[in-house]
Amino acid sequence: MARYGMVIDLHKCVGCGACGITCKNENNVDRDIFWAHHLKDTTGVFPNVKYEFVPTLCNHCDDAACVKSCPTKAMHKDDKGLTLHDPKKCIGCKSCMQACPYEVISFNYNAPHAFWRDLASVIDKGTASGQETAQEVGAPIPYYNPDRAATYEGIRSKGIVEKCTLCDHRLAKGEQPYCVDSCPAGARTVGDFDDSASEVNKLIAQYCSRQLKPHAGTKPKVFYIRSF
Amino acid sequence: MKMTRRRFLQASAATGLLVAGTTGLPALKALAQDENTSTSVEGKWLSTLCQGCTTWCAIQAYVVDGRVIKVRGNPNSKAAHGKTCPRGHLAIQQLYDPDRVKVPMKRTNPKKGRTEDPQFVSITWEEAIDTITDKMMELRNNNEPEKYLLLRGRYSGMADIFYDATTKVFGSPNNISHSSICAEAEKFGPYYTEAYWDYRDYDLAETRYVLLWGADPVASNRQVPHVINVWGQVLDQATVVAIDPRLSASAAKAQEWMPVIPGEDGALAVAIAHVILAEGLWNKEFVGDFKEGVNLFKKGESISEESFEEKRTFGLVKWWNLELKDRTPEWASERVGVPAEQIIRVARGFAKAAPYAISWLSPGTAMQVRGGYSAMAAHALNALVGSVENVGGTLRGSSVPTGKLPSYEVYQDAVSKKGTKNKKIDQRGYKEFPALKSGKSGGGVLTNRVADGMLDKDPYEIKMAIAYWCNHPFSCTGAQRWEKALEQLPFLVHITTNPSEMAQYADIVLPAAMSVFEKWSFNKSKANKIAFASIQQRVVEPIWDVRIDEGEVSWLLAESLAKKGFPNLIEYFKNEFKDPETGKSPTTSMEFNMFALKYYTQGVWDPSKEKKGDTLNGWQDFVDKGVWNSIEPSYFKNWEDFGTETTKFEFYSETLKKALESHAEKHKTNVDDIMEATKYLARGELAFVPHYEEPFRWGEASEYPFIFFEHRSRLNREARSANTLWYQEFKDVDPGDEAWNDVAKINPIDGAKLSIQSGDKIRITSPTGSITCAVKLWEGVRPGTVAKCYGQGHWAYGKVASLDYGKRTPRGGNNNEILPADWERLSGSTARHGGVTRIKIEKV
Amino acid sequence: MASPIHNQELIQNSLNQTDLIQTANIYKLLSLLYSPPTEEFDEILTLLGQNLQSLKPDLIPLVSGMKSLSASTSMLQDLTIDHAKLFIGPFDLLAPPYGSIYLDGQRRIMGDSTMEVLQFYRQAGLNLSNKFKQPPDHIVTELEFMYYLTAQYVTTGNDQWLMKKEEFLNNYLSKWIMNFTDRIQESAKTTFYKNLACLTLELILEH
Repeated sequence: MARYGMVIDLHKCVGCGACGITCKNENNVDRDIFWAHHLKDTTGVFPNVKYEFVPTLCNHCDDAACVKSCPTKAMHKDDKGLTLHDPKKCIGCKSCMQACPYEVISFNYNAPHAFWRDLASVIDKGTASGQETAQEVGAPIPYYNPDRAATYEGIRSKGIVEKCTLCDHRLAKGEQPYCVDSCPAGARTVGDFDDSASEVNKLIAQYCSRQLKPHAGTKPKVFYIRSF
Repeated sequence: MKMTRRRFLQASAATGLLVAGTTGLPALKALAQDENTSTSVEGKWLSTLCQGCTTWCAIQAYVVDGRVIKVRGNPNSKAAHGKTCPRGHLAIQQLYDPDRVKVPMKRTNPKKGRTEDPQFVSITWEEAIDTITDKMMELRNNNEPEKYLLLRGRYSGMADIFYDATTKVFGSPNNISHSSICAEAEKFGPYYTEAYWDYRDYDLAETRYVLLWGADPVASNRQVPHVINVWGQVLDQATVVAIDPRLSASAAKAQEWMPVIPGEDGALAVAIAHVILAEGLWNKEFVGDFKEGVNLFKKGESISEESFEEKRTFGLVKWWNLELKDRTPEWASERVGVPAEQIIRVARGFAKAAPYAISWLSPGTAMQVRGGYSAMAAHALNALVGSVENVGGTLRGSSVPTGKLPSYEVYQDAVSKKGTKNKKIDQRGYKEFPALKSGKSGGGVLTNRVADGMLDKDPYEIKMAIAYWCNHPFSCTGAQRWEKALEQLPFLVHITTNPSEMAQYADIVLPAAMSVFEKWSFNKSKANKIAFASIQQRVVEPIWDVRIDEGEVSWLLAESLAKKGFPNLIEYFKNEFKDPETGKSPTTSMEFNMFALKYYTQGVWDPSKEKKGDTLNGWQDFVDKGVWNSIEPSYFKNWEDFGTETTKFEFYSETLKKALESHAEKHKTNVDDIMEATKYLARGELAFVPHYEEPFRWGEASEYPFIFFEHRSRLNREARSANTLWYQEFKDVDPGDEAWNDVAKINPIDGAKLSIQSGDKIRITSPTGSITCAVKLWEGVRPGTVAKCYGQGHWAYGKVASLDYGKRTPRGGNNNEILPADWERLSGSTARHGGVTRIKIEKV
Repeated sequence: MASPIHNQELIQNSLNQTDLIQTANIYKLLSLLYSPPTEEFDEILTLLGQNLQSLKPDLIPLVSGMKSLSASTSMLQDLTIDHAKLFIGPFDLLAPPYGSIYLDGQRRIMGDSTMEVLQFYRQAGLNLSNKFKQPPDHIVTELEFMYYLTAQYVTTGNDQWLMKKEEFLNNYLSKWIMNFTDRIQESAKTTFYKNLACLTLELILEH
């Protein structure tokens, strides 16, 4: 058993959004759904103003409320301590969404990626359309990442939920989650909190760390160190 | 219904049926054997170059089954630490933009205008090129090739083939770059102090103090991934001060924010200089000292030039006497709107960190009507603390050994020679437009003046234009002038990926290869003390009928011109661009493109050529690794001779004096008259030192109560990425901005006065135009000012960027429709910053 | 040395070889018959009849009925109009020839199943032809795919092709073919397409 989670160094983070964008890229996530996103806040009165940016994602809680609330065990913990979702068992009841304190689970209200099935072209025969582009390229979305399908549905279908898996398909190959690799600031570190020698444990020992909504009692495993 | 056996076999074979006892692959019609299907989906990382901004990072694309799936920084790139900023990823959605132009198109509605549907119909490349060269030959036959105009937008290291050679061999002087709509004024500062007309690099690893003059380096130009990567460390070891009227991305992370009133930056710069001198904090090693060793710089007092002995600088006392002696922090505080104590604290901190201190200039401080001298003042602070080419300071770049365009002079005939001698359409060098690039009157480009030149037919009429990767009716201030100029232009060719605003005025639209993933070329840039050249590679076969703008289109034009009796250009290409590996002459447009690319970059990839940097093992090694890195530049390299008139770093610019006097002489007048013509207030010797100028603004405060200023987005790939989903979904990563929206950021105090709330729709009106957008009440802007990001407000371009492409309804409004066309005339730069206009706001 | 079991398989294969070839050919010919009508239809119908002779002689009258209708030029025009109304548009298609319309339960193409079908082709080493500008789940394409899989089995003797064929048939083609052919039966004006629908249903679901 391991307990994988993430440490985000807000001092290094510049709030560029590369994590959220590349997450969508890696996981074939549809428009309006975010596995990795952010909170932002501007406080104070001009000219004494503070802007903060906090990247967010599934906290892969030790005591995950989504797992407890799921009636079909579609939401479950795996042997790495990740909170994962099995689309085959999901009945789309959204209990997990209501239970999650972090609003990081999304529901597919529509058939995904309508953008790439759109037939409209702005200039008839002169410009392409979403569908034509996808078809020419030969993939459901032109930059469809087939690697995602190794451990999850490559694209999640209408009527079920979806969420961050901490790139379990990449971890399985010994790679870092894509948001970690693509953070230009190097602000994200992923590792096993059960391993006392892990980098994540070193970081939370070195700095005073905090979690989002600890009072929700779900034992979240995304820790934030230093400040933006 | 019976068939003979023989006929049956024939018919079966023709239909693709199987016949017992014979072999052969199944015959397919709807399906096809997939060459790429090697059952595994293992992809490849291929090297190329990002052109989302002008950092021009070396990146890599992950290609699976002929598709680009991901982007990362090129691990071989020392300048960017193998990183890419968020822009790199957006390029994927640009490549696969459903609104891309698939095929060449011609307009069938002769009427041109924003509300006219061009009624484009698709045509072949042959027909398109044939139509274009017909028009070109017509100009040559009429002995007026100068009436041809080439408008260059986003370009590569091979641009000169199209931009320079094609235009000049054809016979026109009018190759007009887009450079001065987003730069140039900034280069004025370092040039007229240390004779360096370029962007600087910065020694961030060693620095202890960073003054950001409107610069927002964690978000925009010119070394974003590098800065993001080291910024945590910089903040640990250095004090960062962001001078910006907006709480920018960098200001949000900085230790100090100085929210100056837009356009007043110059006052702050001279006040910091005043404090440094008055408090004796200047760097003695670089600047020198008083002969008697006693600081004589006292507020309001002129001193004798003989009392001070300078080392690496020239004119310090003149500068003090002419400008600095009265520029106290208290004086500046009233103008810039920040407390005198903060000015003093920053000046001291900056000077005490010397020489590990950077005064980081950006377009924000320079691209103002009177911004040339602010740029000089801000840059001169580096000399006061001795950080010019010093450890932890500002640096120049190392050289990259790429080739130059071969001479085309012998290929110009009498018509071309006569044509190219004409004045340029951008009016550079006119009395009121000195454009003193590198010291020469008319040396620089006045991109945004071209619209006026065309409208006024001054110096003459333009009859046809080819524009590539630019979108002037969107990206130039006073955008409406461009719409008018293009309405009148008899023939426009636009080479573009998208049906942009400019394309609406085109007679022929040519689908461009998307630079990052479909173009073969190269570029060079610098960051992190490393200058580099990066390959730009066609990593996937284009799905649409595109051509590479600079290389291929030039060739196609040349081929067609030859058929019509003008072979000079194709001969130039065939003779001068042979494959450096085989000596073979090009025979097709792609061969030409590739040979030219190899020719230009041979100095980089050829192991037998001596160079100061990486050694690559030939062409393929360059393609594979993707980047060549220089060595780090040495410190103090130009301290003995900066290349200025006096060889010193000039606080009193003899170099500028010479340039201004020579420009005045050309127009048979004096420098004071030139100052007046260029909207500057300085008279006499003040024109030769960095000094404060009261900002020039359009509109009276009584009618237009707010100062408007704009800024850049960390997701802008120029203004092209606005048509991607990820741009819109993540637009809120720009502090104060909102996803899927275009907001004017207004201080809540002003919001209360105007009774407007966040989310309300407003009309913003300047003396020259009007747009509508949404409101965001935000504490990150000063009361009395309104900030808005550039990039949204497309009324064409595509379905995502526009709210309704068919109806020409933009998402928000384009700032360039309210920003008046004006210039920092000494550099030729467009003046888009510094609160160039006042505005009024109405709720709609 | 070959094992007895292997030999047994070989014998089995050679016994079935003719049947398999004819099965493959029938898929190919049906695929062609869903393309826009041409004068070649006459010959295609002849070939179809011959390939049915030993496998499904009872269906030959249906083919003959179609043949008499496709002979003359005026009939070709009727067929073209009927074909367009059923399968091409531009307005509401009477019998949309795309699997996703029936499988994904909504009137849209390029649904989820469309992309699964494309993945299926790719796993079989195929892609869409650049010339045939239709979504992957078009009836012409799916029938051609069935032909291809059968032909590959005939050529290689490798069971994986037969398994792929079964999987594709069970998960995709057979799941929508009934609704599709029903729509043709309801809406077709010509006997040709009514018979084609009937033939298709029989031949797909029989296998």
